[in-house]
Amino acid sequence: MIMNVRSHKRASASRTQVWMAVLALVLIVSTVPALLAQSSSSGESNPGVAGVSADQNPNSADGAQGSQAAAPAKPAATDGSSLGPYTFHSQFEVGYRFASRVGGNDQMYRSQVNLYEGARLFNSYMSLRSTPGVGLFDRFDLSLNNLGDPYGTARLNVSRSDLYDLRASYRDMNYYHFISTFDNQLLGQGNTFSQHNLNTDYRNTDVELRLFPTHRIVPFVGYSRSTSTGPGFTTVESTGNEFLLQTQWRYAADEYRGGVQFNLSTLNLTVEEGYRFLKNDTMITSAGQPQGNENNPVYLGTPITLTSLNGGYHGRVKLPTSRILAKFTPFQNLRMTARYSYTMGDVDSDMGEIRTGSFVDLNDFLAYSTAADGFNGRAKSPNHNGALLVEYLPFSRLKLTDNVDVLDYHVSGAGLLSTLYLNASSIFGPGPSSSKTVTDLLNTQFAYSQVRNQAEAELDLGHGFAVRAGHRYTYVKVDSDDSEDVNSVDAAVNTAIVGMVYRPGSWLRLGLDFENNTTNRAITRTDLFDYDSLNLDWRIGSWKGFSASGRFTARHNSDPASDISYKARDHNYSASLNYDPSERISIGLDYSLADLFSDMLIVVPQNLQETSSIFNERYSGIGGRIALTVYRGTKVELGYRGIINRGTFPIDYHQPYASFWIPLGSSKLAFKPAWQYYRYIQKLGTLENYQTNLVTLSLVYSR
Amino acid sequence: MTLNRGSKFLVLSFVAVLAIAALAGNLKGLPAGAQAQQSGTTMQDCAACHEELVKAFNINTHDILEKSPSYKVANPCESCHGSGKAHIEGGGDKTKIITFKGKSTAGTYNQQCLTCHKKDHEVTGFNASTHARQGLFCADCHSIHKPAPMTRSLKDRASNLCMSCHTLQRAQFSKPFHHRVKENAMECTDCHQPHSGIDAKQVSKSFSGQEVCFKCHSEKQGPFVFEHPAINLRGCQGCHEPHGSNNPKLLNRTAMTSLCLECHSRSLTATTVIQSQPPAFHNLNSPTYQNCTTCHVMIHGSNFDRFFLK
Repeated sequence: MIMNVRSHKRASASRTQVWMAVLALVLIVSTVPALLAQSSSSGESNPGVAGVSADQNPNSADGAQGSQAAAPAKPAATDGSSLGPYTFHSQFEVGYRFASRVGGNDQMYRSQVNLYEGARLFNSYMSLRSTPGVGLFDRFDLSLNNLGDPYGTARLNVSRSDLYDLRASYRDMNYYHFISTFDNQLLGQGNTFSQHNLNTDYRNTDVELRLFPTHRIVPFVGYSRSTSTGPGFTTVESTGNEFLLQTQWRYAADEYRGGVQFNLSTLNLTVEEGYRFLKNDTMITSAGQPQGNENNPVYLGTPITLTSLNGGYHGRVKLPTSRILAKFTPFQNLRMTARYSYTMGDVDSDMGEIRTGSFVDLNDFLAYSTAADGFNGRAKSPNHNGALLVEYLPFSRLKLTDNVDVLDYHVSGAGLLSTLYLNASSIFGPGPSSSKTVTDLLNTQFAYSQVRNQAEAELDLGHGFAVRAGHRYTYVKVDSDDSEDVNSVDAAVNTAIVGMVYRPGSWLRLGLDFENNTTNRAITRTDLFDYDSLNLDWRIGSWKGFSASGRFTARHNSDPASDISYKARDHNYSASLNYDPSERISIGLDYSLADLFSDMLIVVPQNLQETSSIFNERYSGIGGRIALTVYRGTKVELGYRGIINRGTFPIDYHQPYASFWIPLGSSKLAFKPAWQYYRYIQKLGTLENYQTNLVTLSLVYSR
Repeated sequence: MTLNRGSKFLVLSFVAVLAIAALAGNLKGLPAGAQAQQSGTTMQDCAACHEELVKAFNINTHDILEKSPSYKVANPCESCHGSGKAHIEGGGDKTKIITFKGKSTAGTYNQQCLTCHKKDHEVTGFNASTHARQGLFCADCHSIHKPAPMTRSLKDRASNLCMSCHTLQRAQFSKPFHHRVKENAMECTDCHQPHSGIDAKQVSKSFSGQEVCFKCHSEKQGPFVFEHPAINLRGCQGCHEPHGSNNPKLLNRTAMTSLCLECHSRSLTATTVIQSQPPAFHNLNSPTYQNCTTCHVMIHGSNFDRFFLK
C-alpha cells in the first residue's frame, strides 16, 4: 500500500509555520494602535444630506404553500404581554389538513410535494424580551414549523446579551424519491417500478454556544449532527445483468468544534478547532429477483442469476480541522480579512459481501456459484483552504480591493479487494470446480490546486453613482492517477469585470455587472471557457405603497474545439411588483422567464460516432397574490403560482391557493381555513402527472 | 500534526502576543469611532420627540449599549445616528443627524453599523461583498426599531427579504424539485452568508472548508479513495441546480446520459481535457446503458471501486 503521507506532513507543517509567522507579525503590529490608545474621530463624516424619506417595505410572505408558508404578523413595538420582566409574544397555529386522494401518480406527488392528511403544528413561535443584562436570559426565541409534515423544524435562540448566546436548530426532512421515468431501465418493458428509489430521513441538529459575546475574549463551542437513514432500492450489475437490491441507508456525521474569538481594537481573531466524524453503516440485501432485468441472462453459456446477496458497509472518515479567521484594520483606510482552514481527512472503510447464484468473472475468467468479497479502502486527504481580502481606500471616493483564495486538496489512497470464489471453474473449458482467492490492489492519487485572485477598483462619482472595474485570474491544476489512467492538466483563466451601481436614495437602486472570460484550455469539456456574462438588477423602493424589483442575467459560453463544439446561453428575466396602499389591501405580482440552451458534441460509446447533445429549457413562471381585509379584521388572500416549461422536458405546474383569517371574538384567536391545489403535467407522457387538493383548517392563537 | 521546536516557539509567541494585545487593548468596550459620537445628550432628550421609539428600545438588543458595563454609553441613540446635539438644537433638523433613509452612499450608512459589527463572526469583509458593491444598505434588510419576530433585527423572515430582490431564485424555488425554503424548512442563510466578502456568490463553506452542501448531505462529503473529479473541479453545481429544478434530484439535465456524456466523451484535439470514454459495450440503444447510475451507483465517490460500482 503506497501512501505519500510523510512528505505531505512535512509540506503541511511548513505551510502551517508560514501562516503562524504571518499571524504573529500581524498581532505584533496590531498592538501598536492599542497601546497608543488614541481616541479617533468617527470613521466617516455624517452625510447631512436630506433625501427622500422612504423605508423599503419588504414583500409580504409568499403564500405559495398556503397556510404553511404564511409568515406571522409582525407585532407593533408595544404589543405583547408582560410576563414578569419580559415582554412576551407568541403565535401558535394548530390544525388539521385534509388531503384528497392524489389523482394520477402518487409516487411523483410524494417525490415533489409529499404533504398528506393529519393533525399539524404549523408556523408557531414564542418570543420573550427583557431589558438587556437582566435575569437568566434577556432574549428567548423558539420557533416550531411544520411539525407532523415531512420537513419539520425547530429553532431556539436564548441569550443574555453580555453573558452568553445559545443558538440551536433541528430539522427533520424526508427525502422521498420514486420516479418511474428516471433512471429506470425497465420502463421500455412497461415496468414502472423505479429500481433506484429512496425514502430517506435527513435529520440535522446544530448547537452553538458563545460566552461573553460583548467581551474581548469570546469562547465558543458547537456541535452538529447530521444523519440520513431509510430504506430504498438499488441495483448491482453482473456481466450485463442488473439485480434489484434492498438497501438500508445509515449515514451519520458528528461534528465537534470549539474556539475563541478575540476582539481587540483593530484586530478580530477567531481560532477554532474541530473534529468531524462520518460513519456509513449501510446494509444491502438481494430483493428476490434471481433472474435480474434481462429476460435470458446467459453469458458464455453460463446463466447469470443472483440467488442471494448480503452485504454491509463499515465506513469511517475522520476530519480534524483547524480554522483561523482574522479581521485587521491597522488604519482607517485599510482593512484586511483572512481565513484559513486545514483538514486532514482519514478514510478507513470496509465492505463485506456474500453472494450466491451463477456468475462469470471476466477479470479472473471464472464461472462460480458463491463469492465472498472483502473490500478495504484507505486514504489520507490533506485540504488547505485560505482566503485573504484587502480593502484600501487611498481617497474617500476610491476603493481598491484584492481578494485571493487558495485551495489545495490531495487524496492518496488504495483500495484492496479480496474475493474468495467457491465452486469456481475456468470459463475456457471443462474442469474441476475448486475454491480460489483473488486479491487486487489499486493505488490512487488525486491532487487539485486552485489559486484565484480578484482585484477591483471602485470609484464613487457622487450623487449615488459608483463604477468599478477589475480583473480575476484563476489558475487550476489537476493531477489524477489511479494506476491505469494518468491525467495531468492545468488551466489559466482571465476574467475582466466592469460594473456600476446607481442609488440616488432609498427609493431606487440600479446595478449592472459585466464579465468577459478567456481560458487557455478547458479542464473538463463542460467548463466555462470563453464566456460573457451580463447582470442587471433594479429595485424601486416604496412610493405610495408601490415597490418593484427585477433582474436580467445573460451568459453566453462557447468552446470552439472541433470535437467539443460547445455553445451555451442562459438568459433570465424576472420582475416583481408589490402594491400595498393601505393595511386593508396588498397586491403582488411576479413573472420570470428563462431561456437555457446548450449544444455540445458528444461521442456515442458503441460506435464512437459524434452526435449533438442538446438541452433546451424555455421556462415561464407566474405568481400573483391579492390580500384584502374585508370585514372586522377578516382577511382573504387569493394567490396563484405556476410554471410553464417548454423545450427538452416540457411540463406545466399549477399551484393556486386561497386562505382566510377570521378573528374569533378577540384579537388573540383566529380561524384560518386554507386551500391549496397542485397540478403537475408532463407534456411528453401522462405516466407521472398528478393533481390533488389540500384543505387546512387551523386555529391561530396570538399573544 | 506534530510540532517541531520551531513551530512550538511560534505557537508560544503567538499566545504571548495575544495576551499582551488583550491586556493592552482599548479598555472601553465600544469602538473608538462609536464612542466619539457621544455629545452629552441622553435618551430622554431623544424621547422628547421620539417617545414611542425610546420606550420600545427598552427591550431592544441594542439597549445593551446603555445597560451593559462593557459599554455604559450615555446615549445609545447616538452610537448609530451620530451626534444628536446639532439635531436637537436645530429643532429636529434631519440634515443634522444620520437617518438611514436619505441620500447617501451605502458605504457611509453601513460604516455606522460596521463600526461595532465588523467583529461579528458572520461579517467577513462586508464592504467588498456583492451586496455592498450593489449599493445595499444594512437598513435595507435590518430594522433596529421594528424587527420581525424570531429574526436578528430583520424586517421580515430572511428568505422573504432575499427573494424580494432575488426574484430569479424565487421562481426557481417554485419548480417541482426544490430545496424547502418556501416551506419554512430552510432559510437562504443556511447556505449563503449575506455579509461575506470573501466567499464567491456569498456561499458559505462547511466547517472543513468544503462545499456547504455537505453540512446536510454528509454522505456525499468524502474524501473518497476513488474521487469523482467533477465534484472537485465543478463543485456540486456542475451537475445540480441548488435552488430548484424541473429535473429530479435537482439535476441540470433531464436525461442522465447527456449529463454524463457531456464530460465523458473522447476529445482528440483538446488533449488536455480530463476525460474518460465509456467502453464500447455501453450501447446507448439499450435501456440498461441509458441510465449511468444503474451501475455506477456511487457516483459521488467510492472507497472500493474506481468505476464507482460499489
